Amino acid sequence: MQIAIDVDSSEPLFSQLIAQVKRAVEKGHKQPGDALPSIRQLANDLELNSNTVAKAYRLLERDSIIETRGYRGTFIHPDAPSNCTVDLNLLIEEKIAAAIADLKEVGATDSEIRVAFGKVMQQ
Amino acid sequence: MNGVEDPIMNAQIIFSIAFFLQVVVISIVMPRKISATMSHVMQAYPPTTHPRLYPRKLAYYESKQMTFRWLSASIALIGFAVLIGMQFYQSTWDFDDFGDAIAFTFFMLQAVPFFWLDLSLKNELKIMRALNTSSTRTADLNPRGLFDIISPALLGAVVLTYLGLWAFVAWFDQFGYEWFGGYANVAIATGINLFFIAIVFWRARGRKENPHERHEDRIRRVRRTAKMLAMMSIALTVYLVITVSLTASELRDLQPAVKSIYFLLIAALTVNEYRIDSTDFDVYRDANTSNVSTSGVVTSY
Repeated sequence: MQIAIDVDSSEPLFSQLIAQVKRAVEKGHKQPGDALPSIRQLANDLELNSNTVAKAYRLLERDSIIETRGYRGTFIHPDAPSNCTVDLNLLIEEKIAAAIADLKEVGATDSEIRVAFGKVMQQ
Repeated sequence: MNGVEDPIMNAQIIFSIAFFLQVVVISIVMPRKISATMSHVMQAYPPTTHPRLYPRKLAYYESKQMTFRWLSASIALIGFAVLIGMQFYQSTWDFDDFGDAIAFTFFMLQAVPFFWLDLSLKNELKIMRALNTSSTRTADLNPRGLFDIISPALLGAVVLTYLGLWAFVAWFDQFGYEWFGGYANVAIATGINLFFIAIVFWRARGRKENPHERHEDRIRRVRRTAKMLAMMSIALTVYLVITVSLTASELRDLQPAVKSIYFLLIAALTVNEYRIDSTDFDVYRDANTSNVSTSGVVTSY
């Protein structure tokens, strides 16, 4: 099972890696429990910085697509096939949209919401 | 005394035969085989159809091939001269020490064209990487474990042989021979084994040297290297045990022949390193056609 990334693409490298792993799970090339290469191996093979691969793995682990089992390595999470279909960006957009709609209902203006949102993000 | 019954004379004859084989196999047979492989590659996969394989003009590689052949042939001639010289003068020297030195020094000389070729190849790969304009990078999504590179049986054999050397040295040390190096033999074997491990680790986990090489070809190459080094490790341990045993059995005169045969074995083990069968050369075709091999198999995801 091979993955390919385009270093000239406008899409960030870690994001391409995440998409490739998710695609491998969706297409059934990788099943729950299957082992993944180490960060160092993948970084060397793709000639990327280890931090880029580590970031992709961290985000995949957060989304329960992969799991790290200590020294034994990294594996596909048992719930990965269902978790792959969850679009976190879409979820965030939906939640923010709902919050903004609530705020507008009580009379908040766009600029007030924007300022408040900026303040909250800085906290 | 009849010369044939003289143990030193017999040892000299055995060494002469072993040295002759060392010269013929390492400086004639092997270079010829490698040169034939190079010719085959240049004819079957020419720059017109496989431009990515040649960072420079074809004439450059032909001249490299010629230099390699001449260098090896010259060393073979030196070897034959040494062999003839030995027939005239071997009765006048301290045979075991001098024979040992000849076998070792000549092997080092024989290795020069191979090292030179290897360095040239590394340089070509460097240029190949610099010229590689493809922005697509591929990798295998499977982990490379230890047993993907070396079979458990072979690794077990290496470990057992190494432990056997420890046991042999511990046993032999009790006899208190002054000439016996003791645990220095183990230290030498350990150092060389660590060096071998580093080579395999670097090849398996290190940076991809050839930007066009298929993942399967790379793994096959790493497996071949690991197998070769494992066999060399076993051969080294056996050689150390034989050398010590010969010295203890008052058969030190046979040491030069054993050393020569050992080098022959080492050379024979490296032959696999130059194999190109089942290598996918379609990756060196023009960028527009490189994704699909002649067998119709898509080589990238």
